[in-house]
Amino acid sequence: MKKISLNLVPAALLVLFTLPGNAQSVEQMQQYFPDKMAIFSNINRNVEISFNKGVPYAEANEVSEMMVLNDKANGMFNKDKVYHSSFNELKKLEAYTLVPDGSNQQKIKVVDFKTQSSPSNGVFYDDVKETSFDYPKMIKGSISHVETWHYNKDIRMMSTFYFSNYLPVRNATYSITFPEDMDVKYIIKNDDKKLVTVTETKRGRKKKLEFTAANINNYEFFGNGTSIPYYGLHVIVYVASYKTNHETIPVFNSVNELYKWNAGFLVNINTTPDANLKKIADSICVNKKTEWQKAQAVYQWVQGHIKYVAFEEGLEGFVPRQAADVCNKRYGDCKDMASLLTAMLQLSGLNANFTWIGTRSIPYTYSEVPLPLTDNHMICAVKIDNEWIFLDATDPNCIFGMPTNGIQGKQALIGISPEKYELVKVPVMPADKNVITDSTFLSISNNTLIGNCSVNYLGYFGNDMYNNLQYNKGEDERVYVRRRMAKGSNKFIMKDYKLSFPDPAMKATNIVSNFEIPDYIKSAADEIYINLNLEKLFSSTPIDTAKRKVPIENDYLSTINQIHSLKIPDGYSVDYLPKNVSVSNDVLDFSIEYKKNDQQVIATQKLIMKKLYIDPQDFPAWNKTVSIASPAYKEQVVLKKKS
Amino acid sequence: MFRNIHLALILALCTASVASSQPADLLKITAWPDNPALHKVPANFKDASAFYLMDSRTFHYKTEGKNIVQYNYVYRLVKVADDKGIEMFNKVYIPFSRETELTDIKARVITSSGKVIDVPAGKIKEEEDEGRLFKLFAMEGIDKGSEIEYSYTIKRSPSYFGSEIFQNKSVPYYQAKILVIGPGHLKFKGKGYNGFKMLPDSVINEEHYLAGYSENIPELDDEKYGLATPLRQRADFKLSYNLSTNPDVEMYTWKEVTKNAYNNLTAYSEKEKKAVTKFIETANIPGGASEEKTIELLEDFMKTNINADEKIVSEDAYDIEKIIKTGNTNNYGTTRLFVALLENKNIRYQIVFPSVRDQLPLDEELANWNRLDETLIYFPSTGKYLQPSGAIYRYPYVEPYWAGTRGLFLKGTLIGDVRTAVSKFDSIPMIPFDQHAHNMEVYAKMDPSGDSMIVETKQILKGYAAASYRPIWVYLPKDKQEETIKQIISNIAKSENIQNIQTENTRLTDATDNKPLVISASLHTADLLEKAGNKLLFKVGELIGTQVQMYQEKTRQLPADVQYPHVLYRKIKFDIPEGYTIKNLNDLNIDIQYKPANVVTMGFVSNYKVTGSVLDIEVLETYREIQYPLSQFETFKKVINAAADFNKVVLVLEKKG
Repeated sequence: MKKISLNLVPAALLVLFTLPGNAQSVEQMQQYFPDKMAIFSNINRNVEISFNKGVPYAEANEVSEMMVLNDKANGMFNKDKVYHSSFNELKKLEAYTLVPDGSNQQKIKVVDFKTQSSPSNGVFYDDVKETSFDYPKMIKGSISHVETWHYNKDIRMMSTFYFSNYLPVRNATYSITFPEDMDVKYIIKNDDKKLVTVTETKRGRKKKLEFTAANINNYEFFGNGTSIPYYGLHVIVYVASYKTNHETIPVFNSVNELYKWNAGFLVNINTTPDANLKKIADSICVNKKTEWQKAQAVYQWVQGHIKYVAFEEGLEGFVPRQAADVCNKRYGDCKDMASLLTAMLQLSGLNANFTWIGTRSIPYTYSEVPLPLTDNHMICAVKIDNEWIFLDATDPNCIFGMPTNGIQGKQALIGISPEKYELVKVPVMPADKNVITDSTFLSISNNTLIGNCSVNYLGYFGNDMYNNLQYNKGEDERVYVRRRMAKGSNKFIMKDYKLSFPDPAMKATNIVSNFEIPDYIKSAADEIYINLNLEKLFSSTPIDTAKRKVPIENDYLSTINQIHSLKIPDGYSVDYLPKNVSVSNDVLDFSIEYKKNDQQVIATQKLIMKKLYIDPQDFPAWNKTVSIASPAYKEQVVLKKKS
Repeated sequence: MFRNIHLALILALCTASVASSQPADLLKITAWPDNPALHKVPANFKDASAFYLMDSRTFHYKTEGKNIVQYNYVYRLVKVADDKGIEMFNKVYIPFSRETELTDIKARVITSSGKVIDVPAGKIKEEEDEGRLFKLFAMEGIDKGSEIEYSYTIKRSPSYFGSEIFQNKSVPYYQAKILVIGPGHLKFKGKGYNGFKMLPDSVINEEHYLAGYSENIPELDDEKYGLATPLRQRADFKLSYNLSTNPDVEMYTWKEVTKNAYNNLTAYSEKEKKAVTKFIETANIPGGASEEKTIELLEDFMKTNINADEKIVSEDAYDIEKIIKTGNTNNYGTTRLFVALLENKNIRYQIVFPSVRDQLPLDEELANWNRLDETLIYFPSTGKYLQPSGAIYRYPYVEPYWAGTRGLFLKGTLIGDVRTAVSKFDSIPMIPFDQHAHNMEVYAKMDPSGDSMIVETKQILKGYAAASYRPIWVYLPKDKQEETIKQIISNIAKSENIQNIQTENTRLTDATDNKPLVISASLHTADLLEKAGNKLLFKVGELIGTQVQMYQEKTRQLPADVQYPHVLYRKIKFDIPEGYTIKNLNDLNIDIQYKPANVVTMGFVSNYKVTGSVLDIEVLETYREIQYPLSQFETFKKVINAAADFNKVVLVLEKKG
């Protein structure tokens, strides 16, 4: 669905603020922000909401200034971009650099601008544009200045204001001026340190809400981190309602208005029955007796036949296309696939509905933030035996009955009728649904470790496997399978392999392969040493809790079981078996267990990931597990020649 | 003469293309079929997700009134077999530019059941990216086994150089052809590369026809140490003779471009000259500085004060007055400015257009003026090179792919009062292998506790090995510098406890005298030891860091290219803890060398000696050449894998008695 660029809003206030160059010296800023190469000295957005013929619109004026504290990295801070689209028209743009010149400043204007398309990630075509330019002379003490004037014809589309940025921010201000009888609400997110000050003032018949914050640290990026809205300091401002001629017009007072607005996009969709579509739906459902079977068959047909291609020009970002068209073209975006699924399922007599949802990159619920920016995706929800099943055909191999992993735990807005909706939480698939079971039999021949493994992939693991095998063909398939099988060391040599798919509907996948790993075992005199943790399921690096404040995001909960059985070579016996370890906390269960009998040594390693989001307060438990797993991973089994 | 060749060709095609129903008629523009029909899949394409049944590109130069107008007509027919193939071809982008006119787009799908679905004109969108325009559209109704067919024409003012690539990393070609048609008085020269064949020029209906073709072209992707681009099948062409004016003298030669290029780079307005004089004043070059020193100082001054960005928005970013005022320019602007600085200081130089090793090469026999993208400066007085656009390189270092190759050298001269240049192709040498080093000195001993180790490490980097690290100290803020250096050190042994980090010669200008970049530290690590009952396993091999391995590769297609020749000399010293003996020291001996004519061109040699309780290990890895031909690839792989094998050596420490 529609991406709304970050750089939205404000309006006509032509007040220029005190040039921070006068106010703060580069030396001062270096003291405040030691070791930083540049900072945002000032970010200031002013939005003014007014009426035109009874319809509210917003104008936004924004100034953003960056000060260079260290110019060793020549060229790092010269480039800038301003985004705009039909929803967020750019009216005017000015940019210049204030360059230190003795005790004065010289102002050098930017004269060259270039505007071009800025298609969003995963979207084939939309109307978002970017205007880019280069600041001149970004030397130490220089301040770049960009000022934009944007026009929002629809106040529903006002964008979020971020206080935090990729560089530290010295001062940030966001203000909204609006008619006094307009009800404007706001939500401040991730302000644990209470940096934001809110003031409300009134002048004449206008009210003003102002949010200010100072000295905001830049955000840092970490591996497997959540998206910025989960931790970046920001404020969402929106119009709940306004008055015209003594009548109150709700805008986004609650989810009701958001739903009404959303439902408005569906008015003309799939209104006339299409004979061809009916014919296809019937042929798909022939011999399918239960609702479950019918829904599964339709879902798999759409997954298999409709390819993801997104055209999102203007309202195309919100309005699904007619199901019959999507069916003929064999491509569409998420809304188009939802349209086809809904129509086909309804034609087959099922209770199927258009459903709005935000993927996990958006942290909000509709109940908390009843705004268009809470969703970015559309799916179909079908009710079978009184239970909602969420169908997202953008993943060609998602298992029927499971949501796509990127919407687990999110609130779905299910459209029941033009007036009625339901808010339903999408389930998080439990760890015992997403399972890898690896049974490996090892033996030693001529000092080389030889193995035979059989690995089963279930749930999302099977889903991933199907997706990868779809794109890795021929020699690439072998390379991919080798990568999945590889363990022990990078000298892992895969011999034969065989793929089988015991349950296509559940995407269950089995890989059997033979391999050898030269140089993996060590032997000296009459002893053989072997580490039976051929794969280390749990990371051995502790999290730096002083630095990392960003949660770890797992794609899904999971269970991995690895059983390595080593045949004891003739004439040898087990001389040393490492101790068993086991950890269990809120985040995960981890264990290594050794067993032996006359013929073999069996090492079983288990990891159960129990949380989708591992928050900073979980990090100590994580690190505790590292401290137990790390030494356990170094333990070798010792085999000794019988005397 | 031609007709015979053509006939022979048709016969050859007939026998080669078993399943093909229509032998390529090379001298005809591929027509848009009125009644499309599905094609059979030739046996050797049965595993392909998608392949080009035909990719036919025609470049037709026509006389219209007094002008020559160029029409590029492209026709493509693609068969898709599976989901991957469908997703590769269900979206089509056609590039063109503001100065050209894109007309006559036809696009359709022939589904596996033979149904034809046209793309409606109304669904064709337009987009701009990086100065290029695109028409884009999605193909409708595709299923597995469909064929996707599209064609279009671009009308433009003529460009007399062409280079068409018919090989890529993911989609094979069944048939590919090129046709260059010129009016009677214009004769083109063409050449096929890497298996693409070109026929001699022929005349049909008073037009010149230059045709080329290839068949059964497999995918060709970059590989580990392998550069695909220069080896892809392609056809280059250029206008060479105007028969109506001067039939014996070739046009658009390398010699001719020399004059234009030289003039563009060396002619300045008075304003530009003034700006240069002022700019140089602020550089504070000492009066007595030698010529070489002056070159070095000018380069560093320019590179630390002028931001070179190839994507700069300004369209006159090469104007020297503007460069100096804004501090911004593009690569071309850096060359212009640097040449102006040299002129100002009366320093002798030559302008060099290198044949970049990982790009399409300059062909000395077939000039392509569009390929003069990169520029070096050569100094005859020192025999060394400088790259004005290379922000991270300092004299005499330039992009490694721009050296060890040939280049077009432009030498300024005076003919009467006119400044011009003469040119010739010559080699651009690579700085020798022993100047590029990633050496290491490591001293390891057991911690008194017995379960971790204390390691003193020193990495000594020279030449290009250092050049790739030095930007850390320029472009990263302090905290990130530290993080990155710790990562580099951790490559030897993972540790949370790294102390006494010291670095030397971290400035970009330290490259000039090849001062070694040194990164040293001491660290505590439990990572190198594993326990086996009462024995200790010391993972000594890990001290050389993770190594590239090529144990199990896809079938190799490309020769090896190591970017720059280099050596890696590592010295490891280990205090054997008291009361312990090492049982498997022999594992440390590895010797893989390639030694034609008694010179080691590549090799990995490791050995050890024990003196008292001290174990000394020496490891020398050498890559003396830049490139190793496919015939030496197995040996190359062995050398690479020898290092990866050493990385896995584990010593078994056993208590004595």
